[in-house]
Amino acid sequence: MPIEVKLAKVSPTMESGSIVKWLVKVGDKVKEGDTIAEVQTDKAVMPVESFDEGTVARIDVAEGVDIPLGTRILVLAKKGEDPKQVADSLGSGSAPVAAATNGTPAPAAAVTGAVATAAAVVAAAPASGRVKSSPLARRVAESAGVDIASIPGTGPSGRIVRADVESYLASGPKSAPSTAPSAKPAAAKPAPKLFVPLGEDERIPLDRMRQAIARGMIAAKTQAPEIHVTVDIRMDEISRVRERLNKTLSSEGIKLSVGDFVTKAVAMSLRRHPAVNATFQGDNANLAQAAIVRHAAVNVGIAVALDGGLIVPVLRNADAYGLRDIRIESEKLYEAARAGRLTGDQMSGGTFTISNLGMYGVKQFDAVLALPQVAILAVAAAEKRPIVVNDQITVGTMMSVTLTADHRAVDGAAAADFLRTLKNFLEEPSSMLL
Amino acid sequence: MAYDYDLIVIGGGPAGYAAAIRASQLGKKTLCVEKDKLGGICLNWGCIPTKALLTNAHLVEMINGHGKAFGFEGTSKWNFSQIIARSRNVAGNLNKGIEGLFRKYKVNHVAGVAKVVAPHKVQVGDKILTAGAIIVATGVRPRPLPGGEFDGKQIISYKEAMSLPAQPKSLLIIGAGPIGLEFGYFYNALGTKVTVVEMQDRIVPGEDEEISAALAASLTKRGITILTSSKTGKVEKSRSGVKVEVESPKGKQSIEAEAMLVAIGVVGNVEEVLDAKLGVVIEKNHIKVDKEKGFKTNVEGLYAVGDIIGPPWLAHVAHHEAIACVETLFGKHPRTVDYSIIPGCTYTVPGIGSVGLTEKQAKEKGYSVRIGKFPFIASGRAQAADETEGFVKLVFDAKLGELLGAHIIGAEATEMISELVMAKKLEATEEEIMHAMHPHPTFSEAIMEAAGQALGESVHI
Repeated sequence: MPIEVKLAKVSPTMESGSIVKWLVKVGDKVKEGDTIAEVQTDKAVMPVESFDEGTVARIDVAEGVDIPLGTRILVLAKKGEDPKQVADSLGSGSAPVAAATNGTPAPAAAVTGAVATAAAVVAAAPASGRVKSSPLARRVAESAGVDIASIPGTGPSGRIVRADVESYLASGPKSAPSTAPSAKPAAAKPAPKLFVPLGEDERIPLDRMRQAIARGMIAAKTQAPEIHVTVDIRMDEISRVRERLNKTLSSEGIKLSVGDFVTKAVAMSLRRHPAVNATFQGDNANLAQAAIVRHAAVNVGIAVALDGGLIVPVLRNADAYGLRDIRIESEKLYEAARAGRLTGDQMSGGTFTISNLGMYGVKQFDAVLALPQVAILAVAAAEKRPIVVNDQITVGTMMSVTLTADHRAVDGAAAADFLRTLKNFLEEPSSMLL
Repeated sequence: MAYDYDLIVIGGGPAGYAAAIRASQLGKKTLCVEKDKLGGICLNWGCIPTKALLTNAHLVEMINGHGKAFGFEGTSKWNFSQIIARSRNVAGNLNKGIEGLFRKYKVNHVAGVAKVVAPHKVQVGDKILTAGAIIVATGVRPRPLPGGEFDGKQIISYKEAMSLPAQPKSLLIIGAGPIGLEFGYFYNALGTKVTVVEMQDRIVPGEDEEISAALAASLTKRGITILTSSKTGKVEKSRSGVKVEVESPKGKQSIEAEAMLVAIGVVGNVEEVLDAKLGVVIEKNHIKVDKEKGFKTNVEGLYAVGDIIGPPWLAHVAHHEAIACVETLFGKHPRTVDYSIIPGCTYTVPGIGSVGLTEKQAKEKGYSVRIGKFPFIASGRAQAADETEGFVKLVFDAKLGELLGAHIIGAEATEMISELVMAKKLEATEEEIMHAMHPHPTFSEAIMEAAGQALGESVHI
């Protein structure tokens, strides 16, 4: 049996993707783990790895064409199979999106397994869970390689029936270029310009990342009643510790940031406050079935600003790391994020998120929840402020942090309690050893 | 101009009474005009009274044919006129039920003959009544045999066949559709010598070929003579009955019988109800309507539903058309009828229940089919009931697993088919049918097993 490689979910919010670049061509031999293509998801450009060994028999999808999840992108002939015969038997190369043949689900490209388990825990999951559809509609969609969730249903309560899938397929593939023609009227009329215009309004359609962010934020603000709790933390002691440790680590070329200490302290505080290291699972319309899941692992997501968006790589089991490893691992994640090379694993499974705008010198801000996580910490700049110590005004390095919590799951006292632990850890770093 | 009624329905059968009640439920001032009894053919002279007769025949057949095995001793006797009387009583009770429903939903009811004389105008007796919409649901009547007009005694239709004063010793039936065969089964079970003549090459020609063959074998075994690919010629009447020339593949023969039942189809009751000046388009004795647009005729404000708009002449289709028509007129949403999912039933023993495409039709449509079949002889419940004839045959699209058609022949076929109507409506595939737990022991398990057969996973055969 030849192996059909289909477009799999490599980012949690991904609904479709496009092959940016094929790294193999027909006739190439591929080993397990080889990178066969780069795929553009809603978040980033990610490598697609082969899970199998074989010879590339056919490539179904052209570069740059937007295709739904589950679409077959490539066929591998196994050892002993004739790639040409395999290519002939498995579909005629018609449209850029070739219909996948039915049968057993093909081994998926990239990290489906990891994402499947993580999907439930990841930010910006679709608002409604079950997609109502008829068995036949699902089969028609599957055989055409279309994600049924993207099809509007006309049956009772929006149930998707066969006719819906067929009319969706008949209306043609939803192609990627969503740039409306109206966006560039100027190009149509090359009228001579007497003046250099001061500037024209620019219409920027939402790219995939922007859409994902918008969806996530809307979901958080419409579904979760938020509570905000702020504390000021004196950072003088941390500054001293940091200076000393950095001297020691300088021989290794490692330099700890204030953020690394925050990550460490947050991870340790989460371990003591499982109520905050949690996700809210369920639907506001059906709270009887909802649940709060307190997670065994402390997986801290750290928001990274990118050009035109942001992404949240996840430092898994952050509480198990020492400061040195937090620095090394974080650095790896930041680099991968900026290069758009995060794997699905590195972007999913977060149980808590830190958003740090300290480097921009902000005094205090509120972050928006990354649902279904129940809390996110907004970290502002550490700055010198006049403070009162023993009834005396003195100068202290202060940092304001604000916890945004989903009040469905976390009450004010629990939020404040978590922040008290965090404050104690950061103000008296040695207490983290206890 | 204000109309006398929002809706006038002409005809009080399954289409007419349903249309009138639904319109009244939707708050419309409604009048239903019926020249005979409410309930139409279905209730008074069709579906219901014949089922009463067939249950009776089956009872006779069970006691006479299987009685010894079940421990009955001695001889059984029955009274033919009581059999007929019971059937008439059942019809009479139901007929009163509809009168009750009309009172409950405040449907105005006039007994009389109605005629549409102009758009929005209906003449009832010597009165002209006006309505915003008029629905014609006057149904059909039996099609006469050329050269053998109905006389009600020797050349009869279903109506006389279910109310004969005495049991005929012999009966010739022209037409092997459900009506002809149901009467054939009934009279044969009671001991009448029955011959059935069918022009097409098989009986119940609308059914799957395997079903036709199985029913033909079963009825022949019971003693009915079946002549297919056969045409009737000269019809002679005598004092003792009829003598009919029949040309079959075996050659010409003359068949004599006490009576001849003609069941070769129907013609629409279009003449009396429509003024010719209206110019309503009639096609092959039936009113032409736009089924996608609320069953509109070509005349403004005039609609038609039920048997009068053409085949398949089934009460349940008529009912659904009436509801769709009224809801398109007065309800929140326009509605249509899904003609691809129409179940059909024949109440012989074994009976037939079917829906969707036959195997042959599916292949003609270009499907590559996968067949799942399960015989009742392998069903424990069927053995217990001593009703092991027949089988379930499911036709699936091999590619998508879609249920294209379902064909059941057997004791409980007409009850069992509904499950597959629902399966089709909800777009189930063979997997859902196979993995939906069916209670044991039942005839219905055969459906699950047939789906399993299609998948190659049936455990019991």
